[in-house]
Amino acid sequence: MARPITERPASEPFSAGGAAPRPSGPALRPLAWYVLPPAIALSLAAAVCEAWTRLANVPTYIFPAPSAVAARLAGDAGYFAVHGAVTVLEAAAGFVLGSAIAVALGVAMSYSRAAERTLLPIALLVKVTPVVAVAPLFVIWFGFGSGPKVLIAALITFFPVMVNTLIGLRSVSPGALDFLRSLDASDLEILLKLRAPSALPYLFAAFRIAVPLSVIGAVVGEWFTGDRGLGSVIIVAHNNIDMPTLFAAVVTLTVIGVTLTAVLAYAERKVLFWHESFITT
Amino acid sequence: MSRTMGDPHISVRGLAHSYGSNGGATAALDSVDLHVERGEFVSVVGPSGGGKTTLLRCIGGLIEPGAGRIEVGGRPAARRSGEIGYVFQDPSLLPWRTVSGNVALPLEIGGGRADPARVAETLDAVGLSGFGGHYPHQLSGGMAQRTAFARALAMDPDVLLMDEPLGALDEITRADMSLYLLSLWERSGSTVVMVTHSVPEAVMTSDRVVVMSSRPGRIVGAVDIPLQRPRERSLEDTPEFLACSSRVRSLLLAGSNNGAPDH
Repeated sequence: MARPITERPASEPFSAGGAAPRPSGPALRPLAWYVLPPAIALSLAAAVCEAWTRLANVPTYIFPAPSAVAARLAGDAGYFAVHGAVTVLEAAAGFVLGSAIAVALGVAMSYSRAAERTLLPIALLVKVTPVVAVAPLFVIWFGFGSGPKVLIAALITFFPVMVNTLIGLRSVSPGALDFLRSLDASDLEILLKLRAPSALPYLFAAFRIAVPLSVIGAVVGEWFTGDRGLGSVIIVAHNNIDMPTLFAAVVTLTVIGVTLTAVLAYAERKVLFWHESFITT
Repeated sequence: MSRTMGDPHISVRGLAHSYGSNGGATAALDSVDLHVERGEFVSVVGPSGGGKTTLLRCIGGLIEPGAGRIEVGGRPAARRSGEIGYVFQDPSLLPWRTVSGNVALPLEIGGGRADPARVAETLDAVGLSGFGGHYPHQLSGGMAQRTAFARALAMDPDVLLMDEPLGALDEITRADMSLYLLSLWERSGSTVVMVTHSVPEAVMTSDRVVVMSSRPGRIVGAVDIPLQRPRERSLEDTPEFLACSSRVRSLLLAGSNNGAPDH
């Protein structure tokens, strides 16, 4: 961490409100700067698809024209919004549940190597078991409502959050830890004042993985049961060979994913303004 | 107790410590005796890896020594909040806290609540008033280290332990800061033990310079520094200063040759 050494003679106190060597926080560019390039590229790709489906007479049940998907979305926006909201709520509930358990176990493991040696292998077992394989079981156990979807989303969210919590809580500056110890700080004080804030960057890194995963979990759950949510919309459309509806549901999921990721990135920027990754030099 | 003066503030007797275990143990300290009077400024100089930091960490209660007794203020050196202020080479500030928040940190330990007036006063003492709302990443190296000083001084500690506190600074900043450090100490009246690599810095700041040998760290000898206070930069060119420096250097040399000094 290179710092510019711009020191005044020690006898000369700094004047109040003196200029900081660096501006605070990163500069944000206008939204268009981020959005326009991929938007143009995607529009071009859609135009190519449109031309291909029309010129080659591609049957709709193989690949619908983008205009047909757009018409399906626009014509029944409320339908996709309602089912999208169901999926988002299930994913969010699962994310919160899975993350809460993961953080609690991460804290426990950070204190106890015995807890780590017991829990980490079990967590790994859970992780390597394909969630699609246990989803039908969850339906049998927890019924046809939102329960199994939330649980699947929680299950898929759990592992990255737990591992990063553990690593983050242990990744503290040795000097800061020594300083707190020299003050005779309790374990709880060290956790709250040093370890937890130090873990936040790791936690956000895990969230970036876990948020899209939680949506996957909810959709997978919806494939198996129920008549609500984009996952069930996709299954029904598939059975009816209704490609425009299937594609419209997929596009809705993409929009949901992009939105959640953007919200998370915004929150991360606000919370971790002090972290190296957000300090512009 | 070998010294004839009154009860020492810090008393280290027969201190020994090794790192590692079984066959691979490295002796860092061996039979170290050190007594520091109340209000005294003592520097410890010696070669790198000579156990200076280990000695300081033992006094500060960060390491449980392998053998020997350490007393601070007549009581066994366990960690005691508020009595010992620690400054490390790296400022080790909490990047998510402002300068004020970092200085307030020691005041919050033990369930206390930091008094904003006390924080402001401490920042003022290190010349950082007006920077309380800045974050560490907005500070220069010297300002960050001043914040670390302020953080250590916030509880008005009886004992200030400093491990190469100026080691991360460039030469010019360093010379200014050492005098600045002295002026802070003169006002606080704390007992200071400072580890440093720099002989001129040790002579300039200290009442006494303790010289250590390396592997295992032993105390080779000590040089009393009878220079007037307050100290000034111009002292560096006086015969007395140079004489003190050369005595420290010859002890360093003796320590690095065989570890068995004739002092």
